Amino acid sequence: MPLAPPLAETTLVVDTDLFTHWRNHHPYVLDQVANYFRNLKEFPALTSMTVFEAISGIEKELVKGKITEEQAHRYRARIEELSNSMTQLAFDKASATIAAYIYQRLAQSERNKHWRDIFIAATALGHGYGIATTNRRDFELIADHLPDSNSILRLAVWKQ
Amino acid sequence: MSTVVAENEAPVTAEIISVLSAGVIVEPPHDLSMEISVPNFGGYFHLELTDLDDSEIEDGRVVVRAAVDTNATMILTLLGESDQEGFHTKRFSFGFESAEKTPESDFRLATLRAALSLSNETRLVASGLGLDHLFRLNEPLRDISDMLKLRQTMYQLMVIERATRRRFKVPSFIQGEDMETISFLFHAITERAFGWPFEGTLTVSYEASKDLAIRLEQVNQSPDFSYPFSQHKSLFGVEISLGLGAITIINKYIENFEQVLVELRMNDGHTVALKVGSRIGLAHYNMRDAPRLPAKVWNEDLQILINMEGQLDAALVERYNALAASTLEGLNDEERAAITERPHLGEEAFVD
Repeated sequence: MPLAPPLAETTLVVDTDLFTHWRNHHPYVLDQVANYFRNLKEFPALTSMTVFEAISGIEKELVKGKITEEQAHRYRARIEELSNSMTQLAFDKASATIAAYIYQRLAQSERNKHWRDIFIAATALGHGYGIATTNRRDFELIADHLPDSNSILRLAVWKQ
Repeated sequence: MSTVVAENEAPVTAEIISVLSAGVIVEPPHDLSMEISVPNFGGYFHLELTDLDDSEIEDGRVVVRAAVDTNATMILTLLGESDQEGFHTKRFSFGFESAEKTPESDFRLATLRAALSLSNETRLVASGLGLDHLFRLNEPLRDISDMLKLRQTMYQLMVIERATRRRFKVPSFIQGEDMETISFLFHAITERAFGWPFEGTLTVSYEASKDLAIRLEQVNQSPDFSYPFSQHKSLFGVEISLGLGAITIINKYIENFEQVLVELRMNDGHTVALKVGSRIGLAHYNMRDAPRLPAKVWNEDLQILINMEGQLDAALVERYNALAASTLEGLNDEERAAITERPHLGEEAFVD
């Protein structure tokens, strides 16, 4: 049973979808973030993969000419301020080792679909964190291929 | 998880919103008190002034000290100009220090500092100094969040102190292991029955007997494994007994179960070690004999500070939510969808 629910004391990272919903002010995320802070007196963490995805979106729109350099500068600065206000988990050696283990045990089509979440899950596991997500199924597949050293993935499903 | 206890930190500069009184110091104050009101938290802090250092008044600096309690001090540094009329305050900053670190002192300090940092508009009145200012502090969100974390830790320590009738000296840096112990003790005292991470295995020793082998086979039908035990914890060098309780290992597995049965069936009384782990890393503790928090344990002013928790939390969460929303500010739905679309790699990126 590699997937397990988080405990009251489990610190979590938010996956990229939840982070996007938070940025879009979705009420269910606002409630969950408030509950999380009430219990743990800290905000959920971000993985470096999610920070990459958030900034990558800004760069993509800038390269396409959809936003101006001034806008890009402003949005980058706000992502930086927000991520600096949260715990950021780096994709370090422990995370890389876990990611490599999972990655090589997935089929090519699964890697293609889940590579971003593999990095998020591996980073969370490497730092002893659980994951908050909207989509349990995405992480079930990953949890089926965890190494013995990190055999339990604690998953909180925050529903819309 | 670990936490740093605030200790004589760098002062925080206040942004003055409006000056309700010019603040001219012409002589040592007669009214030796200061009142700081935080309207959006519905409360105020009344502090006694303990010292006024005007030795640098000609250089535009006056330092006022006010007692938060017998241990903790708020240092108000007034910056301004001196002329023939006296000292005119133009700016001021806050600093905090404590002589001895105790949970209650640090809880009071953290609450005061968090309230100052989260209040949209704070009023500082020191009649003896002729001060009446509206101001706000602009501290980084992460610092305020850390302050509320510290406040919670100190509250938990206060609960443990009152329940166990022990007193702790708080180190400047609380190790992750001690943070876990604080949290465990707090749950045991306030909830008694609670879930807790369980990694590794519980080792239980039995004397080999056929009857026990039969019982163990029956026990193994259950998904969980319960065992009575007495729990002790050590915190900052103080031993704390939680009395007799029980641990239930959820979704258990027993190492070398068949071998254990073989050993027990020898029926010769030799010691057999049983190792039990949890497949989901979870145990439930029932600490029925843990110390209890006496009724009405907090005095009135401490209770007011404790009751501020919900408002402080809500104020900080609101700021975080606003910051998160600002990352997409000014974009329409289509633009938001585009800028938050997850990056894709081409199929060839995944070819072995």
